[in-house]
Amino acid sequence: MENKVLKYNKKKFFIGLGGYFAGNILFELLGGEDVAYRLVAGVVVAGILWILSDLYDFKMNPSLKKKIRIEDKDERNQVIREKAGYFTLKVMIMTLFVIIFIGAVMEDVLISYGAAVLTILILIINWISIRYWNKRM
Amino acid sequence: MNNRLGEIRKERGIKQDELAEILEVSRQTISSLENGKYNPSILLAFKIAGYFNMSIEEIFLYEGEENGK
Repeated sequence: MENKVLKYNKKKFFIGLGGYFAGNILFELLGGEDVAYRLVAGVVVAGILWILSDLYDFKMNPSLKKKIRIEDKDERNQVIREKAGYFTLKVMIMTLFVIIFIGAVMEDVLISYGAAVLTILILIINWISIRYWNKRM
Repeated sequence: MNNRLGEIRKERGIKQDELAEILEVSRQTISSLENGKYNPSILLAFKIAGYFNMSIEEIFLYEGEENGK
C-alpha cells in the first residue's frame, strides 16, 4: 500500500520541481524579465502539472485516493508528524536566536529585527495553536 | 506494552497489509505495533480487538510504567 503512496509522493515532488523550472524557462523564453513574476510562473506551471498529474493518477488508479487518505489519517503517521513538528519548531527558534545574535554582532539591524519579528510571530502562532487545541480537547 | 497481535494475525492467516486495509491504518502501523515500537490509541486497540472478536487485554499486555514511545 505504502509503495504506491510513496511512489505518488515522489512523483509529485519531481513534477513540482520540474514544473517550477519549466515555468521559469517558459517565462524567460516568452521574454519576461521580472524576477517575482518568473517565480510566480514557476509556481503556476508546477500547480497546473500537479493537478493534471492527480487527475491522471486517480483515473488510472481509483483506489489511490483512499490509500492516500488512510496514510494521511493513520494515527502513527499523525504522532510522527506531531513529534517532527515539535522538533522542527525548537530547531527553528534556536536558529532564529542564532541569526538574531549574528545580526547583532554584524551590526545588521535588518537581519536582527527580521529574525526577531519572525521568532515572535512563530511563538504567537504556536501559543494560539496550543490554546485552540487546549479548548478542543 | 507487549502484545500478541502478530501471533494472533498469523494464526488467522491474515497478511499485514490486509489487516491494515481492514483497520484503515498503514501497513507500517501494523508492523510497528507487532514489534512493540508503537502503542495504539484506545480507539485502534478497540478496533483491533473488535476485529479479532477478543478483549483488549487478550491482545495487549500491560506490564506497568514505561517511557512513552
